[in-house]
Amino acid sequence: MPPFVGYILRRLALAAVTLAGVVVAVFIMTHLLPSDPAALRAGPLASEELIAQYRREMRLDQPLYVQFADYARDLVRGDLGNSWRTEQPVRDELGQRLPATLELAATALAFALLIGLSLGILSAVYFGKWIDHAARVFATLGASLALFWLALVGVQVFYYNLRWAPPPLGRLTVGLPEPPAVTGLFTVDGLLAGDRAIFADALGHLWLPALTLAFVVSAPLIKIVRAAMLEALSSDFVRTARAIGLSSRQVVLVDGLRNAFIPVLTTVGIVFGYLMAGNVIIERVFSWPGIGYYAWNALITNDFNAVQGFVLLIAVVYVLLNLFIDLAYGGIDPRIRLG
Amino acid sequence: MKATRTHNLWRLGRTGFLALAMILTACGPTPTTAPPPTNTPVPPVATSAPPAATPLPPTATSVPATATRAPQPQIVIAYDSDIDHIEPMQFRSLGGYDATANLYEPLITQVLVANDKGELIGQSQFEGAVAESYDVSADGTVFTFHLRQDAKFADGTPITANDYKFTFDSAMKGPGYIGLLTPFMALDSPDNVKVVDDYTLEIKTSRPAALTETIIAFQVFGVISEATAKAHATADDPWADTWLHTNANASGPYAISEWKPGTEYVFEPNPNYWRGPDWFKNSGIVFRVVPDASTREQLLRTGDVDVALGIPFSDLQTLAADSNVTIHAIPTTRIYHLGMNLNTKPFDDVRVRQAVSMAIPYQAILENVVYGYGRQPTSPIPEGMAYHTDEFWKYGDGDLDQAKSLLTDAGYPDGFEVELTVPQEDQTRVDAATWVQSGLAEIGVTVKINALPTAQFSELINSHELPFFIQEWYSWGNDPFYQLTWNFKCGSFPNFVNYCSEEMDQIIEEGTFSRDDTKRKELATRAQEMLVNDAPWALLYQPDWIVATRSDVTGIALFHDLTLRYGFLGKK
Repeated sequence: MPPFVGYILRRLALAAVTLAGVVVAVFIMTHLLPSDPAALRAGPLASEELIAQYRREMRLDQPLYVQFADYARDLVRGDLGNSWRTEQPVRDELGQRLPATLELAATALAFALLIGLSLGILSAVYFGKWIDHAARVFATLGASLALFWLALVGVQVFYYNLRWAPPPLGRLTVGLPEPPAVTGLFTVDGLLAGDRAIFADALGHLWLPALTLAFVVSAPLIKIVRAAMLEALSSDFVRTARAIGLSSRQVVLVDGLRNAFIPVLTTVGIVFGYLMAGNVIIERVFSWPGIGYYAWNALITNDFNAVQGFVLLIAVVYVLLNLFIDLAYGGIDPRIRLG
Repeated sequence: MKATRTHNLWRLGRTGFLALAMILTACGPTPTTAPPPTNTPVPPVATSAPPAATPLPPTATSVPATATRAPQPQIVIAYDSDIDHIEPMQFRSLGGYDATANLYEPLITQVLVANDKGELIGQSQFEGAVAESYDVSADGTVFTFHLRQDAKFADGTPITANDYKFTFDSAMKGPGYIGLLTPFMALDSPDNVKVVDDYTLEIKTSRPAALTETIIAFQVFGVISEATAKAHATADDPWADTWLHTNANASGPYAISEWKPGTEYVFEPNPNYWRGPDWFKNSGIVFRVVPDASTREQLLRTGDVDVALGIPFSDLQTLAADSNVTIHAIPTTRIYHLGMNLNTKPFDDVRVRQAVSMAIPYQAILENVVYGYGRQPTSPIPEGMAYHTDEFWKYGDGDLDQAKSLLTDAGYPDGFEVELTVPQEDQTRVDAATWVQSGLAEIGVTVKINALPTAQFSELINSHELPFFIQEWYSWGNDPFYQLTWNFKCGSFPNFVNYCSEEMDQIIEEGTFSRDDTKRKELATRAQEMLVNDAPWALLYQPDWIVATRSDVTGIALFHDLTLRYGFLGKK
């Protein structure tokens, strides 16, 4: 057995412990909120009997540990319970919305990497020149502008005034059929189905919200790429490389960038996790049917199962993401040995 | 005391939870814009009782049918609420109510009359829907409905009296709240709903009630197919509740053709609807969930949607300036009020409540909270409801000296401090709270505003222990006694101010179970005299119901349940 397999198994075991901790913590906290979901579900005119009936159905009349045991048993079977608002299984509801968030997050990350790497590298290479200052101003704006304001301005300018973006009505134009579901990502499924019109339409709906998010999350990427590149470019091995006459491009992109990549990768992990947690503001403004707005609604209506399901899903995403990044470290830097 | 403690505990819990959620999800900025208000619609109330025994004219639709049939447009609606589910007998989101009102057809329906702007407004008179006509016995207790023989469900099976019997059984025995409505029509038992033959249904009430027709015409009594429900029923779920949450064998004008939660719902005309395919003014409704108000406005202004719901009052003036957009502002009987809990100090003293009512800056609230789209209520039985009178109203002239002397008489010469609780997702209530705060400061009362998430607000107000809060009430049944029963009867659940008086209970009882107009008017007048004087509610504003459309959109048809009937929507 190669050593990294043992490493992965150990990491997965550790992940299970982390997830169990998350389950317990979230369960306790949602159930400690002194708001009565049975009464909320029954509505403002509910009779005592109806509330009592719902309380029984939702097992709220049981001691907390019994409720938890029930919940944990269902969880092991992959059952996240039903949302009391819609009476539908939370697993299905999250499953329907996850691809929307995933597609937006991945596109935003791609944009952010493009912006972050190019501006970060340029600003390190031209340290102290105007391009460096411009990149820093850009990063500062990205880090400090309010996202909701940016999104509203984006819609106003690119949809309302210029008409470059389609109506902010979710993922596809009204009336267009969804592509046959393979991955749930409309761009990918559109290509798989060989339907260019769907692909173009899905991309048309994606670019503005993704770019808005990318503007914000590229700020830490620019900073980290710049800092890591500056360090790498002033190191001994780069000086050596230059001294032996390697081309400037090779020095920057091969020797500099590869050595700068470890901190960048860590930041990419954080950024992608942030994007995957769904963004309530972007999802609101663009009517994007993702998990962020779903979770927000669940939270304000105290929809236990939906909130728990959401947090658990995000915890799983983080665990997998961290595992993947740790493995990638080994691929990038041969000095790092896993196992 | 207790309420405060709960509240602090709750805050701790919530903060802790949010903190954890943030850590776990690294979920960045918390949204600064509130989601659309999730105020729960309140089931209906009735209006003035029509004289007994009026056989209905054969389906008079108040809208003339078009002579020539041009191709019908599809109407796209940007909606502020998702459709959580379409089970017709349980509480839903506002979107859910809109949907079920258009999926299920009751026996009789409100007569629509066009106002001067061409909007079709539901009246307190009724006409046949699935029932072609009905008879009322001389004593007003036996209602016999004669069903159309050609009315069908969407699946093509005929609608019979058995289906209505099943619907009433389900309402009164099954889960959901609508069993709470049958007492208004003195329907004591599902056994009193009898199938005479396939097309004749008899409903026997234990005494004459003013609201019988009103309740029967509620959308929640739209007919469910017995055969369909039984096909999807299980031992645990004899009323097919689960299936009905996301499916419908429609009896109303529309059937669902697309169901994508959180995104899009498409309603297509029900091919078997009893009014026939020529009745529809559109070829279908596309319902897009657009959570953000400014996005809805932009979509409307560009013409990418035809209708936008849930536009904030603060944006209406700008939007109205766009010549392509028409704002339909329809007066309603919804009342936003400052509730003062009679079981808590200092509001147990009527002089304190009157002083508060006198110090409210009513005009400023009307101008700055609903931006003129509404009116100032002058009685808990609002304008627009039968027997309304403003003859007892005495708080509107801003007499602060009198307010101060009332407070002094009550033992609060230096005023007092009080916490005002509002749900933070309802911007109008949060805004109104600041005007209340500044008004009451003038008479020495210090108000601390406590804006809470809706779930928490509901929890607190439901405890009946909240001393001072802003609440809203809307009666589906447009009738004073329906309004009074819910809000001012001893022990009624939504009576959050704990108003309780023997005389009032007597008035409510007599007025609800009488079909005598003169007597009901006398009772309603006395009730208004008592309530204005006792001032358990300080009446803040009575907002219009708003729908914004493209200017070429026609056929806004609004019933007392404040949901649109889509079939009338068309384009010039």
